[in-house]
Amino acid sequence: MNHLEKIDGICIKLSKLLAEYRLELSDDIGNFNYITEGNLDSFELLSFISDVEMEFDIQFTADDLIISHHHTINGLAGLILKKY
Amino acid sequence: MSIIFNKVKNNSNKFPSKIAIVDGDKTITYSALIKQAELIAHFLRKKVNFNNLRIAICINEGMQLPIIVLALNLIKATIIPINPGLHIKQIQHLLASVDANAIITDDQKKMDSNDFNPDIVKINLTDLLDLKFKNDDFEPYFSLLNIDSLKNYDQFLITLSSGSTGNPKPIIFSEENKLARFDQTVKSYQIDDHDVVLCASPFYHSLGQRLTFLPLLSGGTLCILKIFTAKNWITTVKKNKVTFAIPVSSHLHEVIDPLMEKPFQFPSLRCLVSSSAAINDEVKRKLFEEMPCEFHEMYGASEVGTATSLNNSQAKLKPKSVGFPNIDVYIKIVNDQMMDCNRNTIGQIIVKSPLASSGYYGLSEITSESFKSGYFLTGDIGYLDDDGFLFFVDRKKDIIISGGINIYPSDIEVVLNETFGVKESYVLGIYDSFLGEIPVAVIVSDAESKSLENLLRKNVRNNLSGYQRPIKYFFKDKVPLTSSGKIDKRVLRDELNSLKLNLSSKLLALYNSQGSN
Repeated sequence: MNHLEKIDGICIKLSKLLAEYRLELSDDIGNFNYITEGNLDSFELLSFISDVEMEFDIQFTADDLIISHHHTINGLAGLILKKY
Repeated sequence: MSIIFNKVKNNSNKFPSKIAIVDGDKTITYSALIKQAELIAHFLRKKVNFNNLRIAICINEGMQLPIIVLALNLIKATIIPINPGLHIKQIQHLLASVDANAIITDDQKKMDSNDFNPDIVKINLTDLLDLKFKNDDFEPYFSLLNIDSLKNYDQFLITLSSGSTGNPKPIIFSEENKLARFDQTVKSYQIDDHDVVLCASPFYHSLGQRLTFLPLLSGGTLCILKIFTAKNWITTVKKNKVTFAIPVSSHLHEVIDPLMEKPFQFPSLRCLVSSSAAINDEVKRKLFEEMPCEFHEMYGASEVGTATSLNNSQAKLKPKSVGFPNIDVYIKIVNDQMMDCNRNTIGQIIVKSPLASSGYYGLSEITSESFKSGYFLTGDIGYLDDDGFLFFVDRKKDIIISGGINIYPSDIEVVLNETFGVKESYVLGIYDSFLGEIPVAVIVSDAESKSLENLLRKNVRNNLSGYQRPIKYFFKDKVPLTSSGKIDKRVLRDELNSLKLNLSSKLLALYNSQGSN
């Protein structure tokens, strides 16, 4: 599986997870910003990050998350892939 | 009488073009507020044809909320604010517990859902807000309706304090009750029509209700902050020249550094009050000693309102106290047998107040267990010193306060225990520097922990609100027990707190990178 296929696979898993947060995603899933467009409150955002860590068996650091590039689904998928 | 509506209408007569509400870039004047509330009231009266109107409001925070509330007050409907973040099943459970007969929502999924009892009238918020556009030449003709012939209006508002999955505790407030709390706040903090009051708490929270009614009843301006971050709070205070705010303690912890950095950059701010949970000693010291405005700490509960207050001069003498009982409020400390404790002896804090609620809707037994001889049993532990000042020590009730929201572990444990493979589950709040506490779960099980955690997380996502979801799961073979064989959550909490997890650091990283978000 090449890099892009891996990223796509992660994006699909992330979008399924976000659907459980009652979010309706547009066709352009990769560029969806889960902070500015997600309308998630503080608790949901904290819970989402924690669910992602569990789902992919990784741990984010605060430094990872302060980078705004990681706030889109594509960017987050790239970060997850690096952490694998 | 719809006293609250009429008081706001009097303010509209006095200051028709004054800004009543600021919500981001949107504003509404007193005259427009009253006109729209009357219009909505008329529409609702025709749409929901009940003599006993009990209407849930399940909409996002914003200017629309106080408008709807005034409309409901005008038609003497019982107002039932509900957290819009709850799942439909949870909302249906709450509606049934308070015998609601209509719900106003801004969520199409809720409008389309078949999970609601078919007898409940669903009202789309958009239909109400669109009224202003269709009726530009509307003249209030509400007097045509025979409002005063409607029911005795002793249930103005019901706050659902607990039990989205378990048994809800709906606290009943009369109009007189909310007005008495308004009077107390006005007297305590000298609020008048010059004040700009910041509300950063949701309306389904009793603090959000207080901060909404306070400026509208006093002829001031209500400034709504929908999403709290320290930066948003600071910007809103500066931009709107906020004069008065009651932040929950977790918000105060977050804004303290930017406030202290340049405290004189907030010349409008004349009074700050801390509420909802104890603030840490260092933050409290800074606020009392270094803020160039009045600061008060208060202690209270939704059921009784504010019971004590600590001002700047009292704080110099009693820095660790949560204050002295307010006028007409009586506080006692009792032991497990409900006998009075001596001064400086720790026991349960019980409060008698003219501002107390009449009890819990439909729960006469729980009401009589919670209110004894006129005193409300707070479930908090503390003591009174020789001078009558109250000192808060801990909570007796099993409750987590996160970001000012009360979270009941039993609601979450019910859902966790339904998950296949779970033998026992315990939810507790661990210390967090931003949110105060954060819920985590301790699970006793023989199952493989990773797959079980996945199942648990999926289950809570589907059945609980965001604020109820444990952020971390711990798997154990056994848990510490008290001498009577019950789970010792205090020992468990100390053990988990010693890990110093600082779970909200990731949330703050997300927010900080987003600037004003």
